[in-house]
Amino acid sequence: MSEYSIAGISFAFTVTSVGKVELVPERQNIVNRFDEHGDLLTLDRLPEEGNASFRQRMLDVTVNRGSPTYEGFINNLARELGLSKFKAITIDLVLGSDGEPLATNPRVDILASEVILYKEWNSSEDYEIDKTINIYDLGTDCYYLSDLINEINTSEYFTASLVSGVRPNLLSTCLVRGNTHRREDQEVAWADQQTRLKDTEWGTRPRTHEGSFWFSEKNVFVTEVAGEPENPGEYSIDYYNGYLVSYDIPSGTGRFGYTYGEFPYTVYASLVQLYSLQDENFTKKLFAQEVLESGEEVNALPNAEGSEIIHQLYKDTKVFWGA
Amino acid sequence: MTLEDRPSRRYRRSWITQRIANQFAPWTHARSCPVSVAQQIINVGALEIQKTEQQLAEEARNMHLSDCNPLLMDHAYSSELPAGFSFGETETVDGAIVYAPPTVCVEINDVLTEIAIAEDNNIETFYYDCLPTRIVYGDVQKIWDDVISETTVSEISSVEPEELVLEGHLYVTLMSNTIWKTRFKDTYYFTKITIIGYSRKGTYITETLPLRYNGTFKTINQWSSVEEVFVSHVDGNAKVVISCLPFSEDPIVDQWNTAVPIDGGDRIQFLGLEENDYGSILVGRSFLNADMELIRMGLDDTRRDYAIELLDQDSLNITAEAFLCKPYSDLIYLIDANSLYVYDRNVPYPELENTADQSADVRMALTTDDSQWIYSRGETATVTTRILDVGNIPICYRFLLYTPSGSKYYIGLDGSLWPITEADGWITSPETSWDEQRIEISMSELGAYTLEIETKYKELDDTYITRKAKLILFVPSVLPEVQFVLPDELKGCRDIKIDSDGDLWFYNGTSVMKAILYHDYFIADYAKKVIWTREEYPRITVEP
Repeated sequence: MSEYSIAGISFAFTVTSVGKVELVPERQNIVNRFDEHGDLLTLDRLPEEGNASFRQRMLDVTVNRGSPTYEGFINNLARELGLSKFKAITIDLVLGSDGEPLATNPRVDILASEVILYKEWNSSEDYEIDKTINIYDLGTDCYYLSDLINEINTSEYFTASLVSGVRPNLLSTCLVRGNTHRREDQEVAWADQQTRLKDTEWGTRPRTHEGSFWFSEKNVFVTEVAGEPENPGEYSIDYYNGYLVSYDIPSGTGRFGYTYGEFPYTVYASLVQLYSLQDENFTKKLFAQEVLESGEEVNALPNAEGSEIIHQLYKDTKVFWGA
Repeated sequence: MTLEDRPSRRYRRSWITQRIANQFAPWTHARSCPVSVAQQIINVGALEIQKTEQQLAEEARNMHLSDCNPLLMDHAYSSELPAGFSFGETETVDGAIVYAPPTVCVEINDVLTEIAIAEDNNIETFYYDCLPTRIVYGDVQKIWDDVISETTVSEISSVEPEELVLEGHLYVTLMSNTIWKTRFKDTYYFTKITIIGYSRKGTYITETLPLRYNGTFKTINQWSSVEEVFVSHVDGNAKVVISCLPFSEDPIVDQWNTAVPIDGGDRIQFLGLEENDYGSILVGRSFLNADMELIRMGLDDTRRDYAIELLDQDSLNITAEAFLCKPYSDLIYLIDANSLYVYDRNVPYPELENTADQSADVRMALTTDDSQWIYSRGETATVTTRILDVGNIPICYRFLLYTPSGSKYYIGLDGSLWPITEADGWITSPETSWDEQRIEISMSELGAYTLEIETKYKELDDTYITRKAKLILFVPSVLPEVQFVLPDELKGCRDIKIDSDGDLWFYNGTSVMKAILYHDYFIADYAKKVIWTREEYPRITVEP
């Protein structure tokens, strides 16, 4: 019982009788079985969202899964906001008159602020870039998707097209980051002289990376030759059509692996985008770049945009910058 | 049309009535006569069971996300009334003072229009049972193409599936198939179709659909693209159609309107449109066999259970183009060249007034072949007497026919109609043995004919008694619950269907066009002083 209880106070209101009134109706969600399904998936109905759209988002939970990875965050955040990712552009290789791609080891990287087209990719320093395209800055030519596609199409080795139904003036930074680099390390060289690489079985067209092969049966696959193998230990690889031919017959249990580029490469876009302050490609856009005596390029003071972002982060989250 | 005048608000016969009546012995009148007194009593409870069964069936489907009813109520618009607003009051017939529904006007196309309160002011009639009030063209048109147009099975491997016009469930129609089971070594293989492609959620999937009879089957998955289709263990001359909307189907009536014949065995029922001399009729058909094993083996003949003549609001016959069953509802939407009609798809209940003075202990009954009691206009019913007490042969008898228009006639054995004054219509029976009498009645009117046989007996104490037995012969017709003139863009279409998202599409032979049905109703929360509307309006006015 409160020490300061109040008793015996009464109020009186006089309300004037109202006749005809004019009102603006307000939409209200009504909970139904779809919301119960949503509870099981911890997915809420968006304000003013109908059953069909809500169902579609719920089905998306099991397909584009949420996780603590970059793509998992995008999947989850986009879904929760009703902005699911979608196919945006397709990048393919330019073929020569012999039907083979002009680029020998092609690779495409979609980064936070750049799209890099490698003509000759290599994990060592020994790579050759065809184009580095800035997609981040408003002033650049490739700020919008249509411009990015035009720029890629000026390449001698790559071609790009917009997926039908996608707005050409979508920001290029909406592209979900990723690359064409794929690794296959569990293939079996069958007891036959010719082994077809797995991903070529269904008519896809990987471009296996030259020099990326390793073999567990090192006595069968010793020396790579360009033409038909003619001596013990020799083997040849058709990098484009996906064949491995050896002189000796493998045991049928030996594994081999390789890396390849996934082409045509379909890039998704998301209206929700994540940027990491650990991402070198991104932080270059937030800080002035200074070249040290050693020739190394490092981040110096934040530029105008960097200051703004840091300021916002500092304001909204109670952390100390740099701590 | 007031709510009480709505055809569906009239009394109807539940299909569960016959299922319960089939517990009686086969020779009983209670089982064999759909309008017997026993069935009239059963029908009252059966209607309640039917409603519960329908709700259970709906809820069972809602357990699964992909099959959950997309037409479930998901939103409404609220308008809070100011504190000083008070509703009017009115007195009911039994003297109670209740709130009077306010006058609610809404802005539709810049014009304030009065809308009606939902029947009984409850949510069920506000959202689920209400009739549409407007139809507009949805301003979306798509060129139509079947995913696989009509193709013989032997050629299906060379056909490239087309892009889906509408994402969602697919409908596979199988025609002219004769092979339903193939034996290879010790294994039986059944007819099936396999579809490979991308689901609507973006996964690469394969779905195999068992094909049980020549008809239309719906996929379980919803699809966004089809890459490959192949059929197995099917007659090479059979034909297949795969489509995003089931244009070539006779819709299956949902499970709560199963056909239950007098001899038992629930059957799948189909609805279809046919033409007779007068206009369009809605025909209910069901499999001859109740055993699905037999149907799967190719014995998939159907029989006509009933035909309902379709009338417009002026009671004139219509020539319908197409119809669809509104999901989770007893309503059908039907179009002709210019109008959209909404009907209740159930067989209407016949007028039973003329059966009132039937004798309790009849010694003679009337039956028809196969106990048929529903006919189409222009058909002839053959009625046979059935003596129930062979020890008592009537000394004379007479047939009396009540027509739907209110006329009464005696009937001669040759089927001729005698005016009621003529010689009382009595026909003398043979003295020693009774031959069952057959008469034919030509039904040229819509409604319920009542045929009566009145028999006169001489009792042991030389007194005379008469007994009356009656039979209902019914030519059903139905008036629309509501009808609209179609927008110009939607006139002249040849089919209508609802897609997987609940959207309504009109098909004109080359493209599909979206239509939007509006339901302009309100309900009033008198306690909290809130007016709820179903559709979106820029403003509403409320007056006590």
